[in-house]
Amino acid sequence: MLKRSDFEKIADSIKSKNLDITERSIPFHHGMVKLFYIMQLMDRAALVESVVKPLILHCSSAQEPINAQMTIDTIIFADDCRLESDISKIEEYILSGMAVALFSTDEEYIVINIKKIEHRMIPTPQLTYTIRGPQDCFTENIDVNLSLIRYRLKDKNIQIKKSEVGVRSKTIVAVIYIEDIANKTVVTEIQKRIESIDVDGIGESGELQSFLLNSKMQLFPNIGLIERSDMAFHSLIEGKVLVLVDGSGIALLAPKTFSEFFYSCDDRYDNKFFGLFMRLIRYAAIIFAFTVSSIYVAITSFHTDILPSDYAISLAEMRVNVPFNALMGALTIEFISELLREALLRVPKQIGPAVGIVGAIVIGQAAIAAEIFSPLLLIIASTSLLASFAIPDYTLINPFRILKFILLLFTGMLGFYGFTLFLTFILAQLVSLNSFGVPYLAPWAPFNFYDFKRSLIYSLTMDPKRPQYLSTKDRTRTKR
Amino acid sequence: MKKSGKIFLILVFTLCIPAFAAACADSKDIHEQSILMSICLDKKDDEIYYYAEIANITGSNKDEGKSSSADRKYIFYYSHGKTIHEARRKLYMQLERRAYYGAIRTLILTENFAKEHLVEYLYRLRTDELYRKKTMIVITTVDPEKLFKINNENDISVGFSIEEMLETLDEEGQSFTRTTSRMLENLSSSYTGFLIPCIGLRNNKNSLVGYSVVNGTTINGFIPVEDSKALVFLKTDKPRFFYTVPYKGNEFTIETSLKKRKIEPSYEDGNVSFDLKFDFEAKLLYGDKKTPYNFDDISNEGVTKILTEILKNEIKDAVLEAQKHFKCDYLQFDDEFRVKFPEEFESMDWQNEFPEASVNIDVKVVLSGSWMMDFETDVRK
Repeated sequence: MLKRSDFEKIADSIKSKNLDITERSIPFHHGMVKLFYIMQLMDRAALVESVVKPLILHCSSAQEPINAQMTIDTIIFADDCRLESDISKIEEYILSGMAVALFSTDEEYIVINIKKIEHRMIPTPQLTYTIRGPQDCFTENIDVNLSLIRYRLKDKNIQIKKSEVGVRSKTIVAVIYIEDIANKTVVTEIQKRIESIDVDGIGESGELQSFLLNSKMQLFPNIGLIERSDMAFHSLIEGKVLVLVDGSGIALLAPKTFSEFFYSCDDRYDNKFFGLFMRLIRYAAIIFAFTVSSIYVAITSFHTDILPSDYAISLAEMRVNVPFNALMGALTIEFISELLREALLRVPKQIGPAVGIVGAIVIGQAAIAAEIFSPLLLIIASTSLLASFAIPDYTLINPFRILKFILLLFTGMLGFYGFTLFLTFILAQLVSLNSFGVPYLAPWAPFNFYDFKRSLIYSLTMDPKRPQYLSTKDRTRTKR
Repeated sequence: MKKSGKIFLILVFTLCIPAFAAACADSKDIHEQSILMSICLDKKDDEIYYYAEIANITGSNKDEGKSSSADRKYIFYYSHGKTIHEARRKLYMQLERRAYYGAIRTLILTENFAKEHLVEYLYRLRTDELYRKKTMIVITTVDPEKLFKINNENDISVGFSIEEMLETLDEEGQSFTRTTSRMLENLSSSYTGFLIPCIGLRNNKNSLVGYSVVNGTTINGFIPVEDSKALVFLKTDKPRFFYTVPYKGNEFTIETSLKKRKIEPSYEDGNVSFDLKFDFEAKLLYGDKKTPYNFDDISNEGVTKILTEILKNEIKDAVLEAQKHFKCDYLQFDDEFRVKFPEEFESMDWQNEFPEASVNIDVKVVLSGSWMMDFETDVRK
């Protein structure tokens, strides 16, 4: 039994740490029960109705002392509560949003979960907008996110393994997968990497992602971002592993290959041939966004021979009064494009269009009128910028945005030779990558016809099997 | 990073910088070059004249040496010297920027120049990487200065104009063209000749006037365009011409297209012979009389017979001209013979064998007369 002096000591210790912990004492026959909680994390109405009120009513009339077990069994109405006896964990429970009831007459205490954290209503997607699909997506509250997943996936084999990451933040991270589908090696690897994280705090899934990468120097993403609950559901069904981080509205998805970054939710919901068409457009978009300004430099400065004569004349006429050479022009205009993109991301929504108009129209028009840039280069840069927005997962385009400048330098110095050389470096790098054991360029390298076909045209009716490169436990989706 | 890794990176970086810098210095933007559209070479008074047509990308060029208004889209320069090199060097001295040969559409050679320097110039093109090997080569019968001046006054590029004209005629099945690479291929065989389109001026417009016959290393004849129908049947894939066939007081206009051509060589007892088979498709378009005419099967047969005879005679004349008059295989019969009899071909002198080869010509014409509907309708009434 907890001694009276120990009980007071613990209570004093909790109060003395300035943790903004609220204390509520309720006396009973020859004893006292103290409730500790953080008011901001508590559903106060539920606390009053389920805990405080029943306790007061009971204690005021009872002629005998109460203990923790008896309180849980017969007095309080809270649905999620348990007995604990480890005194060192009391603070942790309180800080994580639980209410703790300490009894002067018992060495055990009660941990009551009536947490209520303020969060946004279920928002509409901001990263992966779709025309036809559902509009609900994850919020910053992990319980809400779990509810969205469970609402769609009623499989008894779903596994949700929660753990805490961050010595100080104690952020809840949930690894979710379907037991009889997901590849065990991938699940184990993800859990292993999460368990090995040694950091003071994780505030967002992006921070967790940096710990899950294969290498600290990795440029290309091998983990996907999931904002939409329907996409989370589809990914779990495919055999992937989802990682939810409390406090983050974006879940992590692994493994993720290069080709999967081109999938959009609409591909599943719309006509499959339209999906194929759009995928081809997206593949073309990334090639265009990455290479077009370099090709312009190579053709203008090195390999003019490949131009038909009339194009050569038009190009020369456009550039005749331009002071910069092609490389400097392309580098400058790409820099301005990146500046514009960054500015548009950071400015308040109300003045975003104004910045766009100033950047695109005023600067663009003025630059052409002043003959600082060739009109063709401006068209190329703006189309390249536009193409970069066509990729559904923005994390893939980011490395290419950086590499584009290096490619420009290589091409500006060595023409198509440099262009090919640098592309070969990138290709070699991509081929050597993997996402939790799955080859990054699958299904192209290593080539698998079924998956290749599936990477272009997706239809539930045409694809009875799960992607083979994922090596899932259950390889078939439908029984035929 | 390990020390060896750092050293490796420094080494790679050090080696790359000079390579990159060297390549960078060598590059030249397109607008920093003089874009040549056509080149013409002439020989007058024992000197080589070098004419160059250049795209006027600035629109306000006021240099000396050019012979037309600065506002023109194309300006032309010329120079002359004892050799091609000297003439070219003198031309470079007039240019503001480095000459860019990649856009040249047509190489024009005068007959005088071609007679002496054609082979030299073709070999020069083979070694010169600056030229496109698809560039078209033509011979001109006109004084180049006149040719360029007339075109320049009309703001027309000689290079573009000639190339487009020849390509259009080729597509229409009215003519055939020869690119530099094809000519170099022909030149590599010493036993054969080839034809080069010949350009002149008609009503002050560029026009195909015929074909120059190149035998060995020099030009030794000219075939006017009016007599070249059979040549086109022999050398192109889809030739198409209109014939007027007189039959029973009517003159019928017939569109004649070659459907199939087969050249079958044979070699027996040391004699070379060729069986030429032509399948023509003919469409009877119209007659020249209003008189109703029932174009029945007998008429069809009659007209077909006359047309067949016309075509056969034309082809026969064309072959005989090559064999007997020019004594030169510009029809490239050697290609067929060499494939079928490679060993025999190696051991013979084709230059002497070709003129003696016997040629059998078989022409088949299928004439469709459904185009004479109005004539038939009248008779039925």
